[in-house]
Amino acid sequence: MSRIGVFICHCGTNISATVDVEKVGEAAAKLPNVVHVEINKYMCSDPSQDLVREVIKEHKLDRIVMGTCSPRMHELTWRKLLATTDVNPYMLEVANLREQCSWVHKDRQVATAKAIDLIKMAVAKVDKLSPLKTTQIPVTKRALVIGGGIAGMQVALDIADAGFPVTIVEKKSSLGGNMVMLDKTFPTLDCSACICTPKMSEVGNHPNITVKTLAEVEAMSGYVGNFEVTIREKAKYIDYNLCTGCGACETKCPSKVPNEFDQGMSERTSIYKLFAQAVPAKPVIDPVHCRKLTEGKCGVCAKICPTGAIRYDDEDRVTTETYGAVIFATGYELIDWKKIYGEYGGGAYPDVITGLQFERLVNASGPTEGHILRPSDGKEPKSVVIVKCVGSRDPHKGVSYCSRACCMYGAKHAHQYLDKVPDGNCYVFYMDVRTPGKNYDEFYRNAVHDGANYLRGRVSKIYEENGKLICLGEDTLSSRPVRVDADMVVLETAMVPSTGADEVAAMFGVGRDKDNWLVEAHAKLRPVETNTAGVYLAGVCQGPKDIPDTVCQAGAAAAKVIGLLNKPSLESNPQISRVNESLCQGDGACVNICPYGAISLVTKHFRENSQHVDRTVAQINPGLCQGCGACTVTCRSGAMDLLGYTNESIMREVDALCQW
Amino acid sequence: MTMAEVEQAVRTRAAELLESGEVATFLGWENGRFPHQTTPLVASTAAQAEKLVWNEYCVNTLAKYTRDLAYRGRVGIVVRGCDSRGIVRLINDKEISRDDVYLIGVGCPGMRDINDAPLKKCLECRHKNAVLFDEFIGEKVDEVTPDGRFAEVEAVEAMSQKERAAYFERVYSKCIRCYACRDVCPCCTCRECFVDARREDWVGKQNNLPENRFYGITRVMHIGDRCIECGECERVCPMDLPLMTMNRKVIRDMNDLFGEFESGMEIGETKEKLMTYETSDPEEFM
Amino acid sequence: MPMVDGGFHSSRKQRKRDEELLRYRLDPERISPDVVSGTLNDDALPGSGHNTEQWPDDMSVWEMPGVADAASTMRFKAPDSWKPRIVAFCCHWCTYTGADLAGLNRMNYPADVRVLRVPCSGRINPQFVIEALNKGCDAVLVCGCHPGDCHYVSGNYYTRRRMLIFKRLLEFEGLEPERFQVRWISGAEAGKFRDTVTEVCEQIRKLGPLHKDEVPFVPADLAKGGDRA
Repeated sequence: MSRIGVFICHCGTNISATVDVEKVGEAAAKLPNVVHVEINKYMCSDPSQDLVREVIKEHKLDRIVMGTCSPRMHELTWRKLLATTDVNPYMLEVANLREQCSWVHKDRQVATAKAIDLIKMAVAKVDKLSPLKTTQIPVTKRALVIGGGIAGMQVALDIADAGFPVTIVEKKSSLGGNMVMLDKTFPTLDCSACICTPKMSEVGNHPNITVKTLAEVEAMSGYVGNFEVTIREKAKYIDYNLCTGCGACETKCPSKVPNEFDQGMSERTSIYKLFAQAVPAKPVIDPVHCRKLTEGKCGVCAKICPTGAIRYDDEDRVTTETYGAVIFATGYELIDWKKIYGEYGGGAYPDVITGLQFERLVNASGPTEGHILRPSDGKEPKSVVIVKCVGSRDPHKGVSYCSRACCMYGAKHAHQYLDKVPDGNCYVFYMDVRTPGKNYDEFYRNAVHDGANYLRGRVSKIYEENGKLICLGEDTLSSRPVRVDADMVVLETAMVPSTGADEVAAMFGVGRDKDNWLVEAHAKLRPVETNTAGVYLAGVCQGPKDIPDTVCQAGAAAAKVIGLLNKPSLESNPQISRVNESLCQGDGACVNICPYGAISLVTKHFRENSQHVDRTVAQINPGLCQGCGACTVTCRSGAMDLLGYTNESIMREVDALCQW
Repeated sequence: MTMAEVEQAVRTRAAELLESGEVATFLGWENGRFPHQTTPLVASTAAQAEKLVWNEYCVNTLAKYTRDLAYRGRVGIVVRGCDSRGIVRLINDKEISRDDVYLIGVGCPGMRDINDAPLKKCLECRHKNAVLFDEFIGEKVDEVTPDGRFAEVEAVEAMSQKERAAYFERVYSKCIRCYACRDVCPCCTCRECFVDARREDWVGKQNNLPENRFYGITRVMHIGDRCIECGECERVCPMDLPLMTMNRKVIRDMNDLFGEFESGMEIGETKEKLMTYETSDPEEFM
Repeated sequence: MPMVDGGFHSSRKQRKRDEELLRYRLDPERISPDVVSGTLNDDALPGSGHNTEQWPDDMSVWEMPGVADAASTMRFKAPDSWKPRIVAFCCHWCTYTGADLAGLNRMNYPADVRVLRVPCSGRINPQFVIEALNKGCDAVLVCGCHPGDCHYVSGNYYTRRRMLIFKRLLEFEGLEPERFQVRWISGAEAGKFRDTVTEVCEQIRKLGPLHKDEVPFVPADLAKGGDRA
């Protein structure tokens, strides 16, 4: 038999001005299983809380009802209070007599009647609750960062500086991501590599950071605090313990292929470092184009290597380790505009280039050593057209969102071009100019001041005529069609999520939105967390943004991770689903419903009907279950129930409400 | 092949399967005590398989019996459209696995009751041939999709609210809570049905209007998105309650709102409408 | 299979009745008065044989236990002291927050609604709703986060599907549409909560009690207050 105590609060006069608390107390005392009623002015005050403790002891209460303000205010307070008594903290129900009763009704009698009903409901519910125990989930104090660009590196550095080991998994053969391909960064026009490479270096040398390049996450199991992740490091064909990075191999390699780092505007050898300042500063062999690996011929690099570091028989390395937290920093790619914008030539004109290709041209360590030259004939372009919003804000052919950084780097490109080609003409076709950050608008106005001609309109067609690229557009502010005969066109294309990031995200139960960006837990209040506890997001993988915001978000994610890893263990939420295995049929309907992947089917051994049987039943992972109860409704037999909001307790709450 | 020829072929095949040990039991029908009546038969030897019949009076849908026999070994079973959909339903609900059954598919011309009247469920049948089978005996019957699948639903909807209320008041007043509908339904496979739950006390055992209503509405909600429209519930109801009307109401609404779906047609991932969602589902509740 | 009287020797009368039954059940021209008056081999049951044209407009027939004679419900009018009893199943993260915000802003709404808090609208089992309607509630409200905003990612998407079907089923079985409503109310929409509660209370006051036979006794001193809060 339950021994319920009901505590009713005046809340100063907040409740008692409208609700006759004495009457409510009298009615509560008559309810079944209520052994004591206490009415108080300020239930949350320290003396009142002490009184609650005494009352619990004196009347041997085993569960309580608080007729007070909203549970969203003080449910935690009451649970902490109960934790200091013999009553289990989850043997509690709060009746909201303030926000949903005394504050919204004026008539005393009506409000009192409602208050009595609310107490009745709470008493009926708490009568059917059971004590709940939290479990301690151990936390492995190691973090995994997926992606080695500026976001990944920043997160890793922050976590490593806090004293925790971090592993970075990077798909390419070097850290740096997209940022290291850029020339200068807005709004300060710092050299991108100059600010990025020190970070790369710091990461490479940090005692707490392990970098796995040419590596990908292959499989994952586990949950917050205990993610078991399998990582495959692809064969590099070079023993990094012996290689000194001297680069002699690269000078002799006969096999040349387009250089992805220079966006296809130069060539690299099959044994190559991604770029000169790569970290790790050692080459890898491209197994698709290396003549030795594909045909068995050549082998020059092995002959010339002074330390004998070449290993043609190298194999992928697969390792599985446990991590307490995982951070996604998978970044972005540029949309393949050639497939979509046939009107811009669809790739037929070599002088119609993307923003990233322009960055490589203008970069001193790029294919043209920083001279802006046309890819077709190597001449300096005297008129350049920059087209913004190529792919962005185009729900019909491209993506519907704004890629956020292009207005700024469009202005930057205009500025850089006019800086290097002072007698050149630069035309920027735009829909809007979005410059929300610190010093951003001034930056854009400087570009205009430098001589960039901003034309508000889109470019409908680009075609070649007499060696010039004819751009047909519109200047909507003067309502006139515009034609520019350009030497080079730079398309500021949309950002899209990195290929393959969605598959890895799916392994962790991280959602993707309609544009395939990874989904955060709450757009405003939890931008770096995901719906999977222990998995975080940093950088553009969550949505297009610029470098300052990326670094900011990386710091935020690191802070969350440090908070998590600092705990010796996590206390699980005990108000989770529970399977009644004798009722569970194992049909798995609940498995698909759970958004957290907290339910799995397992085979268990039972002794039933005088037989030994192996049956499949559902199993809840207490680390993942968030206690929503969606699975309980799908379970027709009621084998699945939600602790704290059991079917029985809600049904009796409804019954109590219906008793006049 | 005539039905008699199919019957002979089934007998032979069943005997073979039992003799070779490929199946431990064979499920079909045998002649009942009275003419124009059959009862289900579980044959475990070739001799018993001789009693199998296949005629117009094989009214029972056998799929659900495989649950009880699977523990003995593989179950051979003669399946028509409705039986095979029931089997698919059981497999999708993980009651049996595909390997637990050996399906001999046949085409069904429609069954008759003991008075030679065609069964209502057969007149409304949309899949006469087995949809899943390991081997098929005889020719496939021409599938003629009958009209008026939702005619009864529309007839009830055409009534006014008060008329409908009165209609269902009569329905639920007649219900005797025998649970025959639940016992025969291939979708009703819970280890403990909600009506038997003592602890949660979902629904009282009293045979009165509100409790009957609770049972009826809840059962429709539970199986509505999985209903294979075999019509067994309506056939076995001793009070002739319009159970398929209620099930078809849910099926029609789901088809209209969420897209067409026929349960029990293929083994595979969850596609039932109430166990999935689309972010673009119709919105009426703003 | 219903047992036929007298064994397999089906009387011609029985067979004729069965054939008629089948024809009737399959007749596409079948119209409602036939249905209301019942099937052919039927005993008179309490409440059978209604002639609905005589019913007053304010009647509904979702009955409570103990109804012996439906005729007694035909001329029912709720006493003036009757107040609606409405339960609102609200999700903790959105609607309950919105309701609290309405309180913080000292908004005013009728006191006929009692909120039952659940963690997510996806927790709401149609069986809770049927229980509420059976045991004495005049209406049920289900409220949750807007689809797409569910704190638990996808709970309300399932709720939406389930409630679309369930609402249609309840209305099919004769429940007035106003007595079961679903609304999406976010944590910031305090006004929407107030407006929803006000609107639903008003609708139910007009409709009257769901259970005609047993209008609960409201103690005189509590009934004295006006029925607007």
